[in-house]
Amino acid sequence: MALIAGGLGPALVLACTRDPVNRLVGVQLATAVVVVVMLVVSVISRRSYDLIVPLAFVPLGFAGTLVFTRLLSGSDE
Amino acid sequence: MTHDVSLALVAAGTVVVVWSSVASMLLFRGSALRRLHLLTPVTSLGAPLVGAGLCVQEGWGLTTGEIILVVGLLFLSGPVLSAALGRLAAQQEGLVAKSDSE
Repeated sequence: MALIAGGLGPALVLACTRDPVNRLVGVQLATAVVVVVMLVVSVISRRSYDLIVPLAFVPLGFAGTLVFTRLLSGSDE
Repeated sequence: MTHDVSLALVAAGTVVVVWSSVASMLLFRGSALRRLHLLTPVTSLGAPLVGAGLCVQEGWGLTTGEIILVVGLLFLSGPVLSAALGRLAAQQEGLVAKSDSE
């Protein structure tokens, strides 16, 4: 609960306010917090097969953030 | 004993994650470059602490291996993303030329 309220809440606020770069920082922070939350939930619920979700989420979040970084940079090639 | 160690590690990791999130929201209003300094502790310190606590709780096994893999991926990708976001923020603030690709 502390992770969700204290970690994910501010990250979502950051992801919804201000300019696009700050929002992207918030998205990246939310990604990391969600991965940690999913790790904890999967161990607490004794369902180890749920660990595939954060395992897939990390590379997808990595690629997605890089895509948004590229889009926001506005470089023409 | 094992449970106490696990709980301490997870609690420490949770404190780091929560502190970084709250501080990134409250501090450095408008400056994405400074806010990035608070993003890296989540992936480089908080997540490994939580992962270590969960590994101690689970003991040796496939679950622990998977937790280590997830935390390792997060640990490696965090600084890379921070560097990319830092470069983007520097371009937006005019510190780095947008056409500079090196």
